[in-house]
Amino acid sequence: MPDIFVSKKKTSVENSALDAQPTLQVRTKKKIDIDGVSPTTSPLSSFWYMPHDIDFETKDKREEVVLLLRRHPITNVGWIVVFTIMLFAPGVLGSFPILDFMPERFQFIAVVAWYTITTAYFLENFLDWFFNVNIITDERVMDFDFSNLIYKQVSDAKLDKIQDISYKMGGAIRTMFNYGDVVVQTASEIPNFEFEAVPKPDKVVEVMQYLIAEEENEHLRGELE
Amino acid sequence: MDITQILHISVWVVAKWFAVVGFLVYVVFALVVVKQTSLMLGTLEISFEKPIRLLSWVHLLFSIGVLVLAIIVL
Repeated sequence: MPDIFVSKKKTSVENSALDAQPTLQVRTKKKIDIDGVSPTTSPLSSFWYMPHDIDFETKDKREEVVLLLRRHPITNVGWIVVFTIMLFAPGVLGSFPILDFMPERFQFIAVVAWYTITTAYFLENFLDWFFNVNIITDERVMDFDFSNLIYKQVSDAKLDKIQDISYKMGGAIRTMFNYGDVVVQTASEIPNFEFEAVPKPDKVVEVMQYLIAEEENEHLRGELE
Repeated sequence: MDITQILHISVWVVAKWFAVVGFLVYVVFALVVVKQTSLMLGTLEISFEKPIRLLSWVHLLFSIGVLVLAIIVL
């Protein structure tokens, strides 16, 4: 007796179609063309457009990172100045008899202790700047918060949940160095995302608007099919 | 009368152990930095991973070196 239903064996054409699926996402990389924005390669860049070799815990295999943002480098000037002063302080203060009440060996260790504090100060500020990033992918926006080396918060919102994007640039320094805050309002669990002191906020908004439009088109195409 | 004179100990011996404990706390801080850096790099893998990891380890070695130096010199 013949079988009522015999499942079709997957043909090589079907398999190749499945394999080809990830490449669909790559089109995002090719299509975004915004004036004044070009791909960067430096991992220390605060406006890293189309970064490669970036991965994070919850990243989907087909997800493409479009933009990685950090605070503008100029925001580091404050702590770099303090660090430089700390670095040269023992040399300058050495001409004043501040530590003269101590035996020589204690004076030496006091200077070493000072440099350990200086190193800790540098390390904490640098790592704080390096790891506090905002990532925009072709699927969502993400906010990585690491503070005081012991606190970690990772939030994300899908692009289709974004309701409003705006940016603010106030003050002479922000205008001169072209950086500001980008505020993203969402309908997801975290209502607001704020990308603080990021470079080229207008371009960030432009990239996000483009990606949101792409996402909407994708949904429409999905509904039509 | 000074308490150190009663106990027949020098104030600099007390200062030495205060310094050593301080540097010991710093070694713990350096260990936390190494651990946290590793966690951060696990959460966010950026191509600048090696120098950052190296920096945290050099910092830990520096803190251990300073602790040993304090014990020897003081």
